[in-house]
Amino acid sequence: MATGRTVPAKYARVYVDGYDLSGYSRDIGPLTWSFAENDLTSITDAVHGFLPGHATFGVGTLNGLFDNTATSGLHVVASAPGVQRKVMIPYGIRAAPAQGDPVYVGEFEQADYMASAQDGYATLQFDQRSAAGVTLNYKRPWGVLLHANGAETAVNTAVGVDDNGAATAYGGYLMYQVFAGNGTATLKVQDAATNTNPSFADLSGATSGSVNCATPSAGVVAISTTATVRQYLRWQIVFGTATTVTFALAFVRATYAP
Amino acid sequence: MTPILYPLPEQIVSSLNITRQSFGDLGNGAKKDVTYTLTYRLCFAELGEGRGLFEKTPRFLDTIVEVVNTLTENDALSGMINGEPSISKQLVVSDPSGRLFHGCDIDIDVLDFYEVT
Repeated sequence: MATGRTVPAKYARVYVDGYDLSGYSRDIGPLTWSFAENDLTSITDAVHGFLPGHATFGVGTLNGLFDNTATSGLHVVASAPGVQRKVMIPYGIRAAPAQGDPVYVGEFEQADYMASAQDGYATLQFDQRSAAGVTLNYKRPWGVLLHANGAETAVNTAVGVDDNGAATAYGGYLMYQVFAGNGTATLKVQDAATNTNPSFADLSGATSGSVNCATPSAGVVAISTTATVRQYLRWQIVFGTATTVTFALAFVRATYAP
Repeated sequence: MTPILYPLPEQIVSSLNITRQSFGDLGNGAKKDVTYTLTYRLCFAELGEGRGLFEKTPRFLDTIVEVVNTLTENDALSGMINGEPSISKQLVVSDPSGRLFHGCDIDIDVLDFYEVT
């Protein structure tokens, strides 16, 4: 994990519902996070004053390449709009995404799919956060990447990442994207007060449950909004029938009360 | 001695531009992009070498493709944020002594971030 500027067109990735659409994506965004402005101005105030209201998220429009490659092409994966998509966009910092890099996640309704008959492009418009996203009860879309897209064949004994500098007491949620595998497995987020392997323990509730990794899939799991999340985070996997799983995992830590 | 690929002495670095990307001075975190072009010359075989005018041509073209493919597929060339290859002077080039070769000039358009060492 590096810090500083990056070249998103080269190092950002686009994962949708367990498919890596990076190679078909030309642009996506804007990745919005905004709050309604509730006007609290009284007649005696000289200027308008506002307080933040409900949050709004969205990934805007995905501009991609029309491609019907079996099981992975943009046309095969995303040509059926009107469904809810779980979207993960990690930003690698001057390198491919790695643990600790920033990541934007959320569930969004795909409103349309528009292919151009002229230039070979296709666009997908995503609505603001879906109804399922609302039930998450978290007003934050940016988190930390705990596992970059890659295969694992053993449990994690490595150290984790410090994404906040301190523990928090407002919970958070995870998003997993399972791209491939050969059976079932459970993905988890673990936390620790010190960044050493023996210190890590499962973060209560932050588990995907058993996932059939032979089929691409994605999921979002929220933990309690009052849960304590210790300073360091890492990914973990419990193998069921699978011996190899290719996945990405992100965690969004809430840093203030919902 | 051929084929040989070497930095073109008279044009190792060209089109150097520094573009401001943010407010401030460098000591306070200003960001600047640095773009420039590196030029390498490929001398594949001396002109007239071998039998016939085109004996060297197929392998010469294969070599160009290999070099360009290698540069295109390498996302992590050290010392640069990004680099995109292209070919400028084509087919006949000269070495520093003036001899003519089947060859070409391969440019790499480089992007660097000034603050990244």
